[in-house]
Amino acid sequence: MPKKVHHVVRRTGTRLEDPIIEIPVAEDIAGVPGIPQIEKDVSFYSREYPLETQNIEKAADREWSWSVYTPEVFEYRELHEKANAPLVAAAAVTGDIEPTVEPVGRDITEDIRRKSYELGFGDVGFTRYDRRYAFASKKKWVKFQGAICVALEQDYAQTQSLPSLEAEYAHFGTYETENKQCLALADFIRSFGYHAQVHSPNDNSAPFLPMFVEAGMGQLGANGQLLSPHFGSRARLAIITTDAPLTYDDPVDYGVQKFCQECLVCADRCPARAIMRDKVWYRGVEKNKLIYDRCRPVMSTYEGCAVCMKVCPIQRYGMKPVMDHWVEEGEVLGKGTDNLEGFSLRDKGYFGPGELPSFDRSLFEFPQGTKDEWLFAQFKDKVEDGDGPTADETSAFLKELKEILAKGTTTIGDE
Amino acid sequence: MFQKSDLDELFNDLEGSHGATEDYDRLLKQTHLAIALFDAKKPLDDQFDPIVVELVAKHQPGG
Repeated sequence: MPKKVHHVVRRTGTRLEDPIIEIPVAEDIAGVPGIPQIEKDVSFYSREYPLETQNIEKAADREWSWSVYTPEVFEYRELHEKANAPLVAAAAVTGDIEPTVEPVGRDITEDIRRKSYELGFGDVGFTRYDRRYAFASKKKWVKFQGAICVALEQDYAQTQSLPSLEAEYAHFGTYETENKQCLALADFIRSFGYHAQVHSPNDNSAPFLPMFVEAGMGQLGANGQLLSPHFGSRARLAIITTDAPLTYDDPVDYGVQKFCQECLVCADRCPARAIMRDKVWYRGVEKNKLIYDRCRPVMSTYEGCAVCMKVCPIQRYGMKPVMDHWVEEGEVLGKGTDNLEGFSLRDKGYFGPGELPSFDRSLFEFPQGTKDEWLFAQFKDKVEDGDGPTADETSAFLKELKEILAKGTTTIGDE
Repeated sequence: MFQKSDLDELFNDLEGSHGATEDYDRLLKQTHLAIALFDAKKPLDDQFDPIVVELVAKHQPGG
């Protein structure tokens, strides 16, 4: 017997000419629009413990990652960094560019929406830039209040080959394209006489996901990714902020919060066992918290891993067929099948439903924190170790510390 | 239910015949969905490309 439908979400397609898609949300998985949150807690944590980009907070393992890449991934990442650097640098200064014409003095939301689709984005939404999520290092950088959230679809075929170098091409290649498209969209906004600041997907000013949820472009999945009605977790995210008059969108309940708890294929299939099955309240938001220290080494070592992305039924089949099937059959489409749950890891082989790889404990021993914190931790071990550090070791420590401090920090990188 | 060997053969077949075409992404998406529906014992409606229907029929377990 089909389930009772609580409401139907209607969304535009991924192109202007596409028909509206209708996604039924069954009564038993209806939740709240957006995400369950306690506003005063979000504000408190933002004020007292502001977020910081992982490119700073986790700089030690960011650097370490390069040491465990395969030669092929290493070579490709170098090429990507080289191609992407000028785009990220261009985005960083967009907030300072003055429009060359007077403001048109009207709401330009629909102009931006049309242009976004023309440029190739698959979805666009509008909301207020929520400064509570801004990284400590970026709080003063963010200039404007209106946030244009743009999503670009990562190639479907390449994504299904995860984890693989092929999928890394899709991952990083999508960011290169997205950076270019954002710069073009910012130019377009300036042609109406307004400022536009590009928040690069490779130099994030904040976790963008909460603002995409607020703009109704999806909901937070158990895998920690935005589950877009169009691309599931294949959406790559960027934001442009502006002082142009905009009409904001509203958050939507796609049924994801409760559907994910019925599914949990990502948690069951995560090779690193890094996704918590039970939701917790974290910084004022209810979510399935990822265990970073389990995820990171597997992700770095095995071509970006992202098995959690690959096995998400909403990514694989689309949100509408998955929600249709839930209403009609009360089942998670694809759950328990090789088609959805199977994956291969380099040197480890194939893992079907119910099977997971095991790893040597040493895989999970990797540098923690910032680079200087990690250097201090290693030096502390030497101090505590019997005879203490030698004069040469102390000298080497000071030399390396000076180098780290001279080099400074960077916010640039994948978030 | 489709096993890994069935899936490997089916997707190799699809890639061989359509991997170099502009239609590949669309066909691949449809094929994954068609397999999921087959595994769930649901019929494929007329929204599926005949190429996909034929592929699933050709490689279905016990087919």
